[in-house]
Amino acid sequence: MSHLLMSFLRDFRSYLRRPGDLLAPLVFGFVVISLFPLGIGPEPAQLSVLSPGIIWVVLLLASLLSVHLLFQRDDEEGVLEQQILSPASLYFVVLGKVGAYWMMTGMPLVLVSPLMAQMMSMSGSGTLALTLSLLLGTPIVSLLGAVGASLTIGIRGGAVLVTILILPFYIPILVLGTAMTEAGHSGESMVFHGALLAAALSFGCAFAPLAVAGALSVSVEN
Amino acid sequence: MLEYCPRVQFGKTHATVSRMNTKEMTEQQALLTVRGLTCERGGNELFAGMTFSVNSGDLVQIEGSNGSGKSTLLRCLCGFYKDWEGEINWYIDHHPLYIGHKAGVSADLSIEENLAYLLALHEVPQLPQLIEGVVADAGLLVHLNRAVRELSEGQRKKVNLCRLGLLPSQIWLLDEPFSSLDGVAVDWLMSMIEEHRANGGSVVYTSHQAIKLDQKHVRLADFVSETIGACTP
Repeated sequence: MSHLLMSFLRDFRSYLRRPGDLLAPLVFGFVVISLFPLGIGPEPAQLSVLSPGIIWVVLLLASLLSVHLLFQRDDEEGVLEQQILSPASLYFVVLGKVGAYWMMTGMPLVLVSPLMAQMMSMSGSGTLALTLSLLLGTPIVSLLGAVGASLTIGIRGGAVLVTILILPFYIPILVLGTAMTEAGHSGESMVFHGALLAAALSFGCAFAPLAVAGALSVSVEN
Repeated sequence: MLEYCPRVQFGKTHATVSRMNTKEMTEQQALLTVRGLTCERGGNELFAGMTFSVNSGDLVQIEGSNGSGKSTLLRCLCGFYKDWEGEINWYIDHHPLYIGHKAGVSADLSIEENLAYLLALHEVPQLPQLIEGVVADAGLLVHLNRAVRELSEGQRKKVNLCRLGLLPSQIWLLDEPFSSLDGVAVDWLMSMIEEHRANGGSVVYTSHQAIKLDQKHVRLADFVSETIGACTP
């Protein structure tokens, strides 16, 4: 477990020293969302119907911008080799790494989501639902992204490949996240979709690092 | 007492990893044995039927021309490269230390942060004097809190080599450890190697430089099967 915390702190610290790459999704997402009221027209009735789907789709696409960077630097610097060739459990090292990546990419999206919801004229309960669904959904997105990124380490054009690989797995998260936001927006209970997202998150936390650890030890072959 | 660490899984599919008992130990202090190792890369056979052993206190130089598979051999030994057949047996209780061509340290972190992370990764208790001592020996103490990205190529290499003085391991696998080091740093590395051997450790390394030490040689050219010449167009 100490390896989890240690890897988290190490990665988070090095992300903070070069935040540019990882903050790109936040800026991209924010700019794209701000274009919708201009493109569709600022009428609240029209915007608020479309808003849950639009925000979720945009944020998913935004998160794809940086996912290939998750292991790239560590692979180039040979740190990944050293992590594999150490007594530390790769499972916890990976979990810590994905945690730090989420803090840098997913968490900022969660934090600015109320602002995005206001730009898209969502109701108060809709805003709350959006933030909660992103809080549950973005870690799953990071975990799935880590699986894709670990499989494409060192491959030229890996950024495109990882997108094609993991986008299908984002679909259930998108459906659940949008449905949860819509439920909250129209004042219905969002427990059902929230519970499903939470279950997916627990499942991802438990098993995605296993898949990543396996993929990493194959990826360092060259 | 040497005890095999069960979490080491080197070359899972082919290697038979065995545990050394005390009776065997008195007869033979082998830390690593390689039997009949045959390795392919990109459809070409690099070497075949390679057999050698590394005993406690040995310094083994892997010799071969560019592209003959020296680095690949080291990567086979530590389990990164898996396209091989034969037998690699380790009789060690810590993971081997591998220093390859990559930096091995994160450019965004300072020397101290990098080394502290290494210690934590290898579950070595962290003492501030330990890191400072090794960094001082490397002549980098004034740069202790500087980011590695601000250092020169040779200084980065020295930071990477600092792990040799910090982590416990009986075998060091060093790929071109002398490249981009100045004379003082070469002496520093040599003294670390000598101290390691005196403590019963052993070193397997590749280098094109002639090292004036008593050592074993593994010449890759000796293990090239004769069919290769006929196969290549």
